[in-house]
Amino acid sequence: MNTTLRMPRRWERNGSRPSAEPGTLVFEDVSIGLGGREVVSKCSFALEPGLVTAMVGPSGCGKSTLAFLAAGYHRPSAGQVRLGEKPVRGPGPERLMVFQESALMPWMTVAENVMLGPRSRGAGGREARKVAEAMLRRVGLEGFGGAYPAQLSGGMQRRAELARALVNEPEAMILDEPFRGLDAMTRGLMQEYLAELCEESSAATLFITTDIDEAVLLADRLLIMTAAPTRVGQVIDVPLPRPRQRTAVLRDPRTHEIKQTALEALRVEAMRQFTDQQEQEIHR
Amino acid sequence: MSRGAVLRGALGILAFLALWELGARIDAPVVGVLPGPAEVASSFADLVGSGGYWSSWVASGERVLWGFAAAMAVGVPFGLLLAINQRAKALLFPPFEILRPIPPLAWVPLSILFWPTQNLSIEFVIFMGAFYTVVLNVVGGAEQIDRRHVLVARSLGAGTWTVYRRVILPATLPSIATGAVVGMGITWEVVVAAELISGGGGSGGDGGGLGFLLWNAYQGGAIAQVIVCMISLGVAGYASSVAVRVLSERLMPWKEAR
Repeated sequence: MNTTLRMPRRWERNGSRPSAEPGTLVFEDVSIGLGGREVVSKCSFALEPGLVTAMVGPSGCGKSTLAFLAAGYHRPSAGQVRLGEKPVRGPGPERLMVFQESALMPWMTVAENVMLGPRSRGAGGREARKVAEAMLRRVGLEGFGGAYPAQLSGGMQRRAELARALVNEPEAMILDEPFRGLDAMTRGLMQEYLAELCEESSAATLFITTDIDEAVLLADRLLIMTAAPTRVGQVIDVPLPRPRQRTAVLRDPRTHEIKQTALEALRVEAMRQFTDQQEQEIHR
Repeated sequence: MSRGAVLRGALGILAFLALWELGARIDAPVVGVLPGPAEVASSFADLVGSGGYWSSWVASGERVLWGFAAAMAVGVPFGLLLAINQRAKALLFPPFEILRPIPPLAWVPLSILFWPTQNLSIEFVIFMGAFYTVVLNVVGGAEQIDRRHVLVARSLGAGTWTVYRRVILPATLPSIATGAVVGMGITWEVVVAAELISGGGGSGGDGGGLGFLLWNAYQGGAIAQVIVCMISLGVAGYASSVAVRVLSERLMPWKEAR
């Protein structure tokens, strides 16, 4: 993967049409209201294949709503979400989401969970089991296929969940705070692990997090989101070399600079959210 | 269960029997009118030898089984429908809620009118006893399904049928099992009363069931036999509940795996 690749970020501000390359997940002037409140407003960005984009923003700003839009669980009220040229019209195996905390089916064994995708789309039992076992080996869960999710540790559950998504070879992966609720140690290991998986993967990856360190370690680019109704406030490239190693990332002088810029942008948005809330209080 | 617990349980039963025997001998208030456990035991020995006692077990057991099976077969899909289809719920839940408080035994007259045989009538009353409990448990369970599981399945390409079979049904299974255990308990309460009212099974009392046998014994003044029937009903109800629980645990291996 080319790490010096520059993102086309100017369209973000001047509104020119983003690319329609195959495998690119594009949000074009997307707006959506939920429960009578505008959550996302004229939001545009593009996720290119093979790149990891981390989305960071004040909590409750609408990041999960964007994830639901990408997965096809929500439909935008204005604008368009598309994969390449194809508009997103509903959920599908080409755009898979890994939820906060574990969403493995507790009544299925780990292997059955991983096989669910291939089986649902008509693969035979033996064939599905074969690809599932290969995928479990890849995420380091060889021999755990027969276990139930509740028998696995938090980190293993998260890996099983990644395997359940990756086995379908999605064009886009949406990870909504996938490491939330893990202890610091496991979380650190999972971050390094995911960095490796992403480097091997050609999927367009959206990684939603509230943790700047995590974002810088994993992503090729950060999207700093504005307070609700959200859209992209600032795009920050992360031109650190790959494969990413935590120690190397920490030692790189650019890391500090990127984090500073991101934190500054986040602070502005957090402040704006805070004052917005106060204004709403006054108007009420 | 540990050995100590079994021992204490046995001790409790023995103490209970001893108190009962004592009460019967010294003509204590209330229990004094009863025969003691020894007399009941000998009455039991007599009954065991007669074919009527065992055929009563079979008759009641069959009724419970059919009534219960029908309640599950109708109640589970009906409950799932109410939980998942908002329009169906808006339409069907109000009449369901109005019919629900009617005690199952109040259905006896209509049940006799509805069905051609007495057995069917009794089974229908049993069905009415278990049905509401099963439905309410299924609705409660299905409404608490983790929405993410359904979303994941749909993303992975699962169609409506697969979502029902592989996600909604297993997610609701624990609640279905609870409904089944509670519902099974109700069926035994209902079968006795239904048999009393419906009066025998037609074939000279043999097919009357345990409830009928109990009533018959009372009318003949054989109180020891009444008590034998009561204990038999207790054992039958307990055994069926255990059977349902064991069976449901078999269906949910992931519950044990922890």
